[in-house]
Amino acid sequence: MPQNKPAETAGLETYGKDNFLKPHKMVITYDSRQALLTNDGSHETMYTSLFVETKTLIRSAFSAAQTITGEKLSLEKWDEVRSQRGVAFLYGSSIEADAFLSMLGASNIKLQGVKGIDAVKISTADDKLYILDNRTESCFAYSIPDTLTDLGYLLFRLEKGDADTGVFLSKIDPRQYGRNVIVPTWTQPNSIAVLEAVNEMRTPKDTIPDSIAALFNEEVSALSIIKNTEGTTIYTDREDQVVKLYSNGLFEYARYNIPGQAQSSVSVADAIDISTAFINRHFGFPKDTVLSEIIRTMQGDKYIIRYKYRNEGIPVVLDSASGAEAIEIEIAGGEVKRYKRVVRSVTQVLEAKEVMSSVEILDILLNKKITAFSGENIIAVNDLYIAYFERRFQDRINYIPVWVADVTVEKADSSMHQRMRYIINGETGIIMDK
Amino acid sequence: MLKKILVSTAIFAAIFASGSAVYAQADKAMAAQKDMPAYELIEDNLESKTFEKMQVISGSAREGTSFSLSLYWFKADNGKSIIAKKKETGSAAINGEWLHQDTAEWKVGPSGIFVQPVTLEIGKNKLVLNITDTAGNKAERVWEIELQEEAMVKEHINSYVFKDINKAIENPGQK
Repeated sequence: MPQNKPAETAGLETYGKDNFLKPHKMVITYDSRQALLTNDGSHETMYTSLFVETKTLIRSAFSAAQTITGEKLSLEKWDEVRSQRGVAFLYGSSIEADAFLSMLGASNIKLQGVKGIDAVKISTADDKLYILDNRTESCFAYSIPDTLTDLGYLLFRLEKGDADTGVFLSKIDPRQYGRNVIVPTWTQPNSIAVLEAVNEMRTPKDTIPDSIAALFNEEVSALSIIKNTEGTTIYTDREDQVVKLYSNGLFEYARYNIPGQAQSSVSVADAIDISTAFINRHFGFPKDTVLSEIIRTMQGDKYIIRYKYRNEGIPVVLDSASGAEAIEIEIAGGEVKRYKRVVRSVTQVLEAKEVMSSVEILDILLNKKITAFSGENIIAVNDLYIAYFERRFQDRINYIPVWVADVTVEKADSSMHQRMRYIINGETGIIMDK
Repeated sequence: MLKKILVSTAIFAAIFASGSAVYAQADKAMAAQKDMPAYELIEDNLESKTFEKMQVISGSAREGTSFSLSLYWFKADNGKSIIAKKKETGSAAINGEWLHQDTAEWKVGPSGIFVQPVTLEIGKNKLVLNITDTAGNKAERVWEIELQEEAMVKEHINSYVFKDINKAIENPGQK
């Protein structure tokens, strides 16, 4: 199959794709306990140091040859390994091995046998890198040739710090909780501030901003502006490109006719490069953006790449009506076909809300009265984490602390299993969205 | 025909029985001894000596089971923690008293799990976990844990650091 070289390769230095390796959860294991390290203000330096050092060590495990064969182990081995001293990166969804290597800057390497990467762990106990691959239901082990002095030192510094202690719930009930469900435990009630935010992009009066004009291949004078009654502003070249700026802050770019090889395949590494360069050129990545998921067609001719961003280390989630993630890009035949983003700028920190513990939230979700009322019986909890959820009150946008539960439910009216996401108000325990 | 029905019945019975066995097995860990509350602890064997200030008591129990976790700290009779006295006495619990520090109480909800953190003090600590189920059956677990002092932590850290330095000396070409 022909492989297109990416047309968009400039601007990668603005926000390096290696940042997308930042995990959904960073877990530090000491001698007998785990800690969850978030990229918030007080831990940012330590988080960055650990991220860089861990990334370097992962890279060093793959430097010996182009085709790397790890020792294939059982999933149970992963359960042992996660209790060993070291650092683990847990990802919210499985990352294709080639995509992972591309973000690592090691596209020339092939990982024999690895299909997807759900988590990685550097164990200082045995100087090894472990990869959890749920797609092959395996764990792979690789030797690290480098010494672990720097990482060991960072762990010791962190050990005396105040990062939240974490507990893997699958240790308590492996039938109910997924392998990567780790929740923080607090000795004191935990408070998180509500934030006020504004749309990243404001609708200009009657001019076309340079940032929007730059998306078109035409001169600004050739573009038209249309405003509809719902407050949406539409910019178009009246041929094949359109930009819509909705009153709720949603930005959408679409290109209908992709010239040339629209049906030809593109490697996942090229798709990441195209996406990274395009977003860097057009509005950029918000601070602390991480990869959410990569979806591709079987033929490899189309990709949808989704990103989310975090505020003070806490991921921002949208309601189900606003789309899957804050930034989404669709690539077809090596070109950007669609680009969507809903990004806000935080303007003010409002009052802090005391957040319920993870067990209190699970007690609400698994209460039989609630499941009888909703007709959804939760049979597995795949993930549980704190996030900011966006609420709009007229022109005001607030970020409210919530718990997000990724669950598998069995519907009362059928025996079908379905993945669902529950958003639960962190302060009140009320289910706000699903 | 009769043979076929018998074989089918036997297979059905075997499948049904094996299913029950799975559930029975899963429940076995939590199955109460007579007059004892049903619960399971993850941290069943806490270390008697640790460098970790933060400990977590977690596990599962039937909904409605009540727990109380009390933390005591050992005050040696000269006012210092037992570590300071260990050279003199050679034994931890000879002279001194246990001082109550804190008690946390909770009831297990519909999730059937609990996670309770506890912060140890430098020196010798005692954790007393009382469990009472909805029928009023009671159980108690007690752990004595010594949180090692700073100098011992440093010694522990050095053992790791020196391991890496020794490795670097053995492999001078590496970082």
